[in-house]
Amino acid sequence: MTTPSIEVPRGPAPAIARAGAILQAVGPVTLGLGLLVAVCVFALTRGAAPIPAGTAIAFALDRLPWITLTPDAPVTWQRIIVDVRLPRVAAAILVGSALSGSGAAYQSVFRNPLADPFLLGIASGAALGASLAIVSPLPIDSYGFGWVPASAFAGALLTVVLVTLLARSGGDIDGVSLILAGVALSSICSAISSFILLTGGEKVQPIFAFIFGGLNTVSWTRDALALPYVLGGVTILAITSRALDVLQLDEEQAEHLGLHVARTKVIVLAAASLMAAAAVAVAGIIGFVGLMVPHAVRLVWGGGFRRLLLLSLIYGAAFLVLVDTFARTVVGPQEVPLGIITAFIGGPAFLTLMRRRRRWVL
Amino acid sequence: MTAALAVAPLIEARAVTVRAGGRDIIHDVSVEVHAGEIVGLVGPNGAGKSTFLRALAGARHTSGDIRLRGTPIDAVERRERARFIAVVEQLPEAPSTMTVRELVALGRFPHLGLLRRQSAHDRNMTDEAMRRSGCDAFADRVLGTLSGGERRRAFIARALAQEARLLLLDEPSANLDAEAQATLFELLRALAAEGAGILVVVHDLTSAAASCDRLVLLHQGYVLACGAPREVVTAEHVLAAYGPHVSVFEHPTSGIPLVIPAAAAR
Repeated sequence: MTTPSIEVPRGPAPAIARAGAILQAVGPVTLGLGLLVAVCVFALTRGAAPIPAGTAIAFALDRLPWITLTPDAPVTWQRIIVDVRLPRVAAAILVGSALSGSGAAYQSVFRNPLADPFLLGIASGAALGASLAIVSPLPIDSYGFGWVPASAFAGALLTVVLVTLLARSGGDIDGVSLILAGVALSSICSAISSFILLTGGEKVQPIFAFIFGGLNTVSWTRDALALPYVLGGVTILAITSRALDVLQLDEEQAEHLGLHVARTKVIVLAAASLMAAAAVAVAGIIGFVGLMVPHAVRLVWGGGFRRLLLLSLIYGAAFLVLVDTFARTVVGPQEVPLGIITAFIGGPAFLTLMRRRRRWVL
Repeated sequence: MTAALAVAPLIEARAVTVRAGGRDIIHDVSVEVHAGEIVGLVGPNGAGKSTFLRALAGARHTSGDIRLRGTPIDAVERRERARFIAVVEQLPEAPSTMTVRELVALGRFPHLGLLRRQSAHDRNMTDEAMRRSGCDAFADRVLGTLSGGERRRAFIARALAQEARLLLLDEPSANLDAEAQATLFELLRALAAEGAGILVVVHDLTSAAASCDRLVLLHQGYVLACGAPREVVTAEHVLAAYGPHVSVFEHPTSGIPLVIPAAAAR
């Protein structure tokens, strides 16, 4: 008689298990914040002129109103930190957290892990807005928040509103219609943008920069103009987070639990779209962050929406600061478009996580 | 008059009609559920049981009058309604990565709203709901790993956590083995004894007759019969609702009607 062989479920490898235990002990929020600070310092030190971490931190802290630090270093370094690298790091934090925070909201409201901030046509609407501004006689990005980002912002919001209106029926928004309308309107916008690209002559070069996405044109002014939309969106999402937890059940149950489902959806979509549109206005189209970061956070930690949102904001910011540092340093003085790097780093990392997680569950 | 108000039914539906797709799914149905009783909603597939249950839970109905403790249901604010009525649908959905405890805690939403923090009472009610419905043993497992019966208990616990006076359950005993069914109806009986009113859709006529105080037999959207189980589950009614392939017997000692396929009775 043969002994029946019993499949012993394989646990994670010891090293991973140990890393997991440390993660658990430190807590994801502390870990994330630590990571964020570390990548910010790293970002400030890297570039054409390497600046020691201590000096970089001192110059950065000196910007704060109640701290005065005057490190013994060249004034050009101070200019580099304060006028070039710091606004760029701030923009990366803003854009990264806005994209992944809104991604968390879209994924929750549609109960679909594949939902992302560009699902409702924000990307193509913004691209069209930017394209129109670029080929129009208006001045391109003459100062701070120029016409291009403003027009991109308007294009993004207009598309979302249109998509939402198209998907409405009887006071409720149907998820499938919404996505279909988003896809349809996206292709219309893309078609017009492509037409502009083909016929716009020499002026179209900035459109490419916008479509590939990047933080090379950021400034304190532009950061400051995007900030209220991101903060407002985050606040609204934080307040509605319990409703989003209830919405993880089907809509009938959510109604039975006393939630106004249609109203909740409109509020959440509006808040998330504002955040995403603001991010697009600052940095152009940067894919993958909004899809991947919240999904990864959910895979690793799970839990309710409030936690998902907080962690998505922190890790999204850290991820984009890191990726942007690579984008501007990896091939010398030339910048690699950010969107390319997010996909290049994010893709494999995400796939690894997905595969590993699957093994743990089974 | 005051005495009449004091015993006003938890829910009272008068001449409710639900029209959809150009036909009446529910036609002129009246039902009331008092505190302390279990009312069974029975009838063949497609009789309109789930539709009627949804109308009672606050979904739109075409005509008729539904009152909660005498107040028209549309006049009751959403969350207040959710504190009064708890509903468990036939196939409720939830993410497979959600733990049982997280699911059950959502039952506190009508009490908490968006901003109130969970108090010790909320946590106690969540624990109590899980204990009573027998899911405390797997409270921290995710839904994706549960069996059909465990999953059903988790959703019933979510309903219990609502602390509602009225429970509307759509086939809670489907896919449960005999013992689990018995445990479930014992739980419902205990809740009724504490003053809850329960309206439950039951597929199996025999277990409905054995477990409910009153039955309402729906057929093609109409009420075919209502009253005590023995008055409702008769050969005549069963023939009218289910056709000639089903037979009714009387349990030799308890007198409860037993309904079995006719082929088995030959």
